[in-house]
This record gives sequence, C-alpha cells and structure tokens, in this order.
Amino acid sequence: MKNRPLSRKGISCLLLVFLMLAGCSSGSDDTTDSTTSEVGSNAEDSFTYWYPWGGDSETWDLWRIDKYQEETGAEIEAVYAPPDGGLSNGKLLSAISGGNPPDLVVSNDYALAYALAAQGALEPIDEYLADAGFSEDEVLEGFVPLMKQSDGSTYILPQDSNVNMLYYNVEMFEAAGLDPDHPPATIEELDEAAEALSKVDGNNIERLGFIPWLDAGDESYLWGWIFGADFYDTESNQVQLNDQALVEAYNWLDTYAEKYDPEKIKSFTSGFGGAFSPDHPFFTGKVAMTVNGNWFANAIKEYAPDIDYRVAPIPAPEDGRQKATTLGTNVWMVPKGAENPQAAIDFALYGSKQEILADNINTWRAISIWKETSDAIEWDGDQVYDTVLEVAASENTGHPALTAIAGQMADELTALRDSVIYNDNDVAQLLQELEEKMQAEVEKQQ
Amino acid sequence: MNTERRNLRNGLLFISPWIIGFLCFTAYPLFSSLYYSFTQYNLISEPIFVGWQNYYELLFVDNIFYTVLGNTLYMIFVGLTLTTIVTIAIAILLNTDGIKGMSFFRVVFFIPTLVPFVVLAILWIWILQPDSGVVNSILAWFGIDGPGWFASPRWAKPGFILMTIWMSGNMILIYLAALGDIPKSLYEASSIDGANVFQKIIHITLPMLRPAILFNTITGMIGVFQSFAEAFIITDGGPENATLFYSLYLYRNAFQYFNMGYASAMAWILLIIALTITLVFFLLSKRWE
Repeated sequence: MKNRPLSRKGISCLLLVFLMLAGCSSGSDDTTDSTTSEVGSNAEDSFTYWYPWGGDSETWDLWRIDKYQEETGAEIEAVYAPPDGGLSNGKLLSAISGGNPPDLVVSNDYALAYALAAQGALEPIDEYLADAGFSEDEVLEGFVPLMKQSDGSTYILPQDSNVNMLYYNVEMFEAAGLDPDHPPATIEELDEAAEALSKVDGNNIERLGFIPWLDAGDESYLWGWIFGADFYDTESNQVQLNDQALVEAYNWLDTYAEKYDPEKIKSFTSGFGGAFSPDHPFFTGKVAMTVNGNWFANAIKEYAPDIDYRVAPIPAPEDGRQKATTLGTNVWMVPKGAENPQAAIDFALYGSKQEILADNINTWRAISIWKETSDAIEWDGDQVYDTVLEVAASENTGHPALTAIAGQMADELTALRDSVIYNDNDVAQLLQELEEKMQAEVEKQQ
Repeated sequence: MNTERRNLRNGLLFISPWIIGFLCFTAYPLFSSLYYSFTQYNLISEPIFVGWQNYYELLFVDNIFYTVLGNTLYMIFVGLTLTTIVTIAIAILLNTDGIKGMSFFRVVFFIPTLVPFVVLAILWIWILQPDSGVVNSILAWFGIDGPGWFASPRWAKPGFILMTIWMSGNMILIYLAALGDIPKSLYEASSIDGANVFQKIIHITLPMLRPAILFNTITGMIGVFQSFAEAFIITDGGPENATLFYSLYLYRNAFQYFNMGYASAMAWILLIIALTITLVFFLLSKRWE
C-alpha cells in the first residue's frame, strides 16, 4: 500500500520523460534534404551549401560539388533549397535569424539577394575574396554595382548571367512580307511587324505577332529599363518612378491591350505551356515573336527543333536603351553567422570558373562574369550566342532597381501595369503615387 | 485534501508536455507578434519600437490593404454564402431515403477534400482554362462565350469560389450528420398538416441545422482568412491584385518585403476582424432562435 503512490508517481514521471523525449526528437531531426550523408563538422574545409535548382541543373551542380570535393578534399553538405535558395519564402531569413544559416547560398534571384545584403543579412566577403586571390578588375563592369552595397563592401559574387532577346520566327516573317535579315530594332518597327504577323478574325485570335507581357516581357523591370527608366538611384537613395520613360513604356503596353482586349490576350495566353513544354506559343505558332532568355534557345532545340528562328536585341525607342537587357544573374552569397565563410568563398570562386561552367554555358548559352573568355566555351559562329555576347557587352545592359525594396516594387509595378492595361488608368498619376509610397518604404528601411 | 492535491499535481504533470508546448510554441509567439506589431523588424536587425505606426499605415495609408481586405471579405460574404447554400442543398439531396447507391454519391462528394491543395490548385488551372478548360467547353455547347476566369480581374474570385464549393465535402459531411439528427416525427407532422417540400426545408430543416450552419460558417470564415496556397499557386495575387488575399499579402510583407512588424500588425488586425465577425454570427444566430 505504501508503495502505490510512489509507483504512480514513478509511472507519471516516466511517461512525462518519454513524452518529452518524443517531443524533442521530432524537433531535432533536421536532415531533410541533405544530399550528402556526412554532416559537416567544424573542420576548416567543410561547409553547408544551399542550391535552388532541380533536374539537369541539379545533376550538374552535384557533379561540380563532387569534382571540388575530389580535388580539394573539402566536405560539402549540399542542400536542395527551392525556390531560389530559400530567399523568397523566408527559409534563408529564418535560418539566419535562428542562428543556423548555411555557409553558402547560390540563387537565381539577384534582386532579393541584393535586398538581403541591404538588410544586413549577409556577410561582407571582401577579405575572403582577397584571400582567395580574387580581383574585381577581372569581372565585367556590368556586374560590379550588384556586388557592392553603399558601405563599399562586397556582399555578392555573381556566378554567371542570362540576357533577354527578341526571338522571331523566320518563316512567319517571310510569309508576312517582312525581311528576316532586318528584324525590328525600334518600337515602331516592332509594332508594325506585330501587326503584320497577327491573324485576328473578329473575336477569334488565331495568332498574335507579339505580346509584350509574355515570357520575359512579364518581368516588372524589363520594358521600363528598355525605355530608359532607372527606377532607383543608388547614390541618392531616390525612387524614380514618375519618369517620362516609364509613362511611355506603360502607355505603349496599353496600346496592345486596347487593340486586342487584355482579357482576350490573357485568355489566349493562359492556355499556353511554359518554356519547357511543347505547348509554348512560340513552338505552336501562336505568337511569331517573343522576348525571352538565352536559355530559351535550348528549349526550342528540345521541344520544337524544326522551327526556323533567329534572335535580335530587344527593340527600343530612340531615346531608350539600345541593344540592352536586364540581366538574370545567378549569385553566391554568404549569410550572416556562417561558420566557414572562407571555405564557402573558395568553392564559389571555383564554381564560377569558365572551365567549370563550360558545360552549363555550352548548353544554355549563359554568359560568364569574367572579362577574359575561355576556350572551353564552344559557341563560335552561333547566331544566338553572338547576339547574347553583343547584348551582354552593351553598356546599356544592367541590373535595374538595386534596392532593398526591389521585390516589393516589382509586385507593385506588376499591379500598376495590370491597372493600366485592364482599366486604362492614368499612368503618370499612378506612377507618382507609387513613387511616393516606395520612397516612404525606402526611408523606413534606412 | 492530500489526495486532491496529489491528483492535481499528477494531472498537471500529465498534461505538462502540452502546457510546455503551448507556452513555447503558441503563447510565446502570439505575444511576441503583438510586441513586434509595434516595431519595425526585419528578422535580422534589432526591432525598433515605432508605436502605432504599423497600424496607422495599414489603416490609413496602405491602399493595397483595403483591396486585400475587400477581396477576402468578398470571399466570405459572397463565397461562403454560396458555398453554404450549395452544400446544404447537396446534403439534403444526399440525405434522401430510398435511393440506391446513395453511399457512393456521399463518397464522391467527399473525395475532393482528400486532394492536397497544391494538386487541387493545378487541377483547377486546367478546369478553368479559358481556351480549352472543361467549364468553358461546356459553356460553349450552349453558345456561351465563357469568361477568362483566373485571367480576368472580374472573374478570378468567382473562379476561386467554384473551387471552394468543389472541395467543401467536409461541410457536406457535417450537414449530413446534422440532418440525420432531425427527428422524423417533425416531417411526418408537417406532412399531415399539408406542408410541401420547400415549406419543410424552410421551417424544419434549416432551423434544425442552425448549429451546424453556425459551426460551418465560422470555421469556413477562418479558413477563408487563412487561405493562401490556392492564390499563391494559381494567380500569385493577380490579375490586378484581384486575388491578393489577406494571408498572401501578409506573407509577402513578412518574408519577401522584410516587414515582419507590419505583417504582425496585419495578423492582429485579422484576429480582431475574425473575432468581430464571429461575434456577429453568434448574435445573429441567437436572434434567429
């Protein structure tokens, strides 16, 4: 009898311990996506690396990791972190604020990476770059502003980059009486070609010559940049949206909406597949021209190898940016609190070498960040790659809106564009209101 | 006394894992978010106390906030009302006695709730495809030029309502259970008094379903306020912010715009709105008694 209360107590304590252990164990088991079984220790040459790509790109990156591990004996714990390396879904931010960040992240979203750096979420990497023998002079000028913040420190290392161009269907050009050797270079010529290539019968759209907001044209900063807008001045920290160039860009987009009815265009385009499906409208002949990245050439090769197409720099107004593009740069970054930044940067520099990137570049026609070219790149005489290089080397090409609020501004500009094309709202007034709102955001974050 | 105290202690010990979990993972974050709602906080730097500024900006400066709130309230007052009417109608049909294979149909209406949100969202992109989707193809048989659905600022929200109705098998199940509880004698008595089907539904079925309707409406409303995945996948808030719902805008502020303080303030305003609407529903429901 005497023992009963004690044994009950014992049982409840035991149960409590078991329950707590059960609770703890589910929380501490955090090795979900790890692709290598050996977890990095604090050894000098071991580090954690987040990458965003799946499919062939993942296979390629794993090859790069293995090669580096073999050559250097480093231990890399590679973690698949979609989308964009955990930048846009809060995963990286949570890891940093939780004190458990990876040592290195590679991402396809340079704008968010820049914003993270501006927010103080990344480590400055100057000393690690210097130790690894890196010299900024070797990098193409267009990439340098992206690497640095206003404090003069370097936070981002570009891996490689992509450009946007106008893809056009040669057969359709010829059938419409256009000269494929002289693709449109100005906005007027683009509009004329679009008109000539469109086949619209009353309510029924069979083919559109051009849809400005299809593919890369949907990106918030592209057309404004081509028309000459800067969006943001990093020197004075001023948002510059109430800009005549932007007014003209959105009014131009609206001419397509007025001509074909934006809902009809959207309905027409919503049946389309993505760039990596046989249903993309450029493959099925539903559009004759589209603006898209260099990698699109490989998609064409895969899904519509019979299309006779060529590329040209994006047409621009006379007072806009000629032969220009916004760059789609893949970037490396070291999150704040990383345990082994030097090992991370050593790998990033290795992974950015043209010889390592050659397979990637030779597949996707991406561009390297280095001034000096390598023999490993095999696109000599390729019409697409010649245009890629021409556009990439243009002084008009760059990364627009390098600011901590780039993501928010992009969303707002998309909504503004919709408001213009669906409701014919006054562009200048909307831009003025948005400029004030964004400026307030900038000041709030300083 | 001793036994009582011991029982109390043992009881507390037994539920202590939950208490600890609740304090750490619910109560603490809850009150932290209240504190952060008065700060400017990006998760990295130290929070800066800004008083009521986030609330002021949300309520008096941010024009998107009211678009977002309008979209969400539309889904509650139009969407939830339609869903309630349709699900009750389906439940009444499924409750009809003497029809063969009724259990099969009950299962059929419940199956969509088992589909994960992401799969569901992708499926509905195809169903409501303006060009070749099932819905517009059927409309075309009757000579109706179907709308752009998710491609149209006017039709995107009705598209989401259709989707919500399709996946409301849970509500149907609850109504079915409630219908089963209504005494047959009430219908028999009304039959003797000469009531027709509609009179029976209005005067017997609906009043008897009131607790179930109240429950479904409140949980449905909370569900609408929390709905995120569908809009995130299908439209990402577009076109023209027509499907930018409360949770999606909150998420953007928190994780994409680095405004954790602002997002926390949004969350607290959401709590107050949901609480107010719930109280109104309770009051209305009492009045109806």
